Amino acid sequence: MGWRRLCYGDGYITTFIVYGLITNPETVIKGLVANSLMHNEHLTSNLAVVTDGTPSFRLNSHGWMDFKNVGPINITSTVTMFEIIREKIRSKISPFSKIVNEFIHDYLNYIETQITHIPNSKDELFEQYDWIFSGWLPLTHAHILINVPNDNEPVEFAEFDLCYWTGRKILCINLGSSSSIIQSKKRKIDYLKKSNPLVEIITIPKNIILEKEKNFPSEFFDTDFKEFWNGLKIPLGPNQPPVLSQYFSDQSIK
Amino acid sequence: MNMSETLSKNMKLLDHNTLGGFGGVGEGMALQVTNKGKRVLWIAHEGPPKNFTGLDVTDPKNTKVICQTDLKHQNMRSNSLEVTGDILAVAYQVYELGLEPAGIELFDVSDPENPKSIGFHSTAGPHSRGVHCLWFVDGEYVHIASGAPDFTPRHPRDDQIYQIIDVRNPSKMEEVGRWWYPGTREGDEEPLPERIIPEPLDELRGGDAFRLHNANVYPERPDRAYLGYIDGGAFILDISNKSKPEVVSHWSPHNPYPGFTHTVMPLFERDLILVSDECIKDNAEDWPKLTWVLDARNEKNLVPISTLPLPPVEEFGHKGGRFGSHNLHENRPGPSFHSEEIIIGAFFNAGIRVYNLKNPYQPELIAYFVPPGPENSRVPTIQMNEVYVDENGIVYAGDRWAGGVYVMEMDI
Repeated sequence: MGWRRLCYGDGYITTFIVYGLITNPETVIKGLVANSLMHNEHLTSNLAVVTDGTPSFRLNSHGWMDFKNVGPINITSTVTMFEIIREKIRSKISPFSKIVNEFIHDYLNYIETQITHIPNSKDELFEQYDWIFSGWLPLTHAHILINVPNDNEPVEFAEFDLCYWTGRKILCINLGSSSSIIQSKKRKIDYLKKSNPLVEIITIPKNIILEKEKNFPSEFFDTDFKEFWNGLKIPLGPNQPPVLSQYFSDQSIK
Repeated sequence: MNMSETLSKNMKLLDHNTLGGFGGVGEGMALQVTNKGKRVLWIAHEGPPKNFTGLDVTDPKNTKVICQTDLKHQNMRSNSLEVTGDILAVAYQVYELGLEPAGIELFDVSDPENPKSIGFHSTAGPHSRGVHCLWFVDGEYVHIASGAPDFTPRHPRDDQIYQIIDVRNPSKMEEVGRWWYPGTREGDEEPLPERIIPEPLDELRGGDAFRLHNANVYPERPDRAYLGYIDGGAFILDISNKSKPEVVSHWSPHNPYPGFTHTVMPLFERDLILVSDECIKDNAEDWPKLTWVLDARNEKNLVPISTLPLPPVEEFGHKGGRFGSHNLHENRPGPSFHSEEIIIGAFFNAGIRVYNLKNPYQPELIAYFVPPGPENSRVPTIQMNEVYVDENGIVYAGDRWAGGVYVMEMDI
């Protein structure tokens, strides 16, 4: 197989993740190459770039949500802001992917429930619900680049229903569709797993997600994922520049 | 036949079996895995003299005919069959109204080399040609497109209606429900549906007809039947009460499109439905026969969003035989490939074609296999009539006239 590791600079693996409503992920990568890669920009509305040391992607991360398009609304509460975020994430899910829609619906409800477990702060500057924006950002319909783009070979991706970047791992989620997996897809996933130490693959059976009386399948995730606030000093609202996020995070999740 | 003339992409031939010289394959293929691990592909025939064939495909590179049965007479066919567990259901259709046997026969195939008849349900009658197609995936009900002893169509080509047959007791099968296109039965209040060319009235086969072709019912939605009703288009029926099926929705591209809705296949995880229109005329006289992709997020308002791209009509339309859509691999339960992104179909002289439906607005052809026309065929081209794909991605395809079964591997 002619795929090569994506190594830049000092040898760290750089992982490019095209995500969201994309009909041809190759165009995103080719656009990126044409623009000499993204400099100091880890997250855009359809691309995430991860190296060892990249700050985790959270709902309050800068770049994934285009605030210019939020519109002239009067955001009067944290709850309203979270509803806008909820809609923005849903807009990154294919209308023909019922299972991803269900999963994200349950996930966003889950983090709303999770923050109730955070002890109330004595600081009056913020309230418990403000932690909601610290939840991990789901990158839906994730296509992870597995080869070095050049003019002679097609760009290849390993595909997942979604993934998260926690600052330590790229959690790649397969929502166990009943579809028989095709060999080329399997080969690419196997290659990614072997070649990228940041990647961890989680497969959740379809029936668990589509059950009528069900909750988010938290049993498939570790404590670092479930207690996403650990290592953060204070909650931050949406669209935080990376420098600010880093300042208020000790990245102790590492 | 020179197999080097095969046109192919990402598909490789593993074996070709002409079924002992009886290589006309109908619209039925189903795979049985016996309790001893033997894998038997059961094959329906396009016409007499053979009833059905059992092909041992345990080694897909070295298939062997292990069973081949004969029809009771030459004025009938068994175009369709299905296997669930060790029970094989076979459809009997006759060429003249009133002839027998017309209906369903069940066989115990636990010993595949010696099928044993365990029951027969007759649908013969003065206006019936019996069963054209059947669906049997749950071991309990057979869903058939058939005439019935007590059904008199207003137009002779509207003779096949939807019937649900309870087969839990094979020796005493019984009809538990039926539905037909309103207006097609003598005595209906609704008017007879308009058709483009009603004549001739003595031709029972063919188009300009409002009769059922396929009825698909899946375990994911046992309360829904998906019907291809030829010129009546596609129907979704609520069959939660089997004795009283009710229309949920209806979609039809005919006319202006040239009719013959054949298969209606839902993709449940994606809220999509595929609808194939069968080509029924040689030399592209009824082009374009398309496979439609419908947005079914609102099952009461089906919206067409694309079609599976066909190769150029100028290249395939006049090579001989039929050119266009027909049977799809139907994602049936059992030892069967299941995909809501990869769609595999039989397209007559355009062979077996494999599409990626990841972007349902722009289906993409990713593989095909078009062998040369087989020896002793009525037409100079291959006529891929039926396709079945097993759980390992091995593709079994049948030629309509003489070529038998082609076994292929997909490299996708």
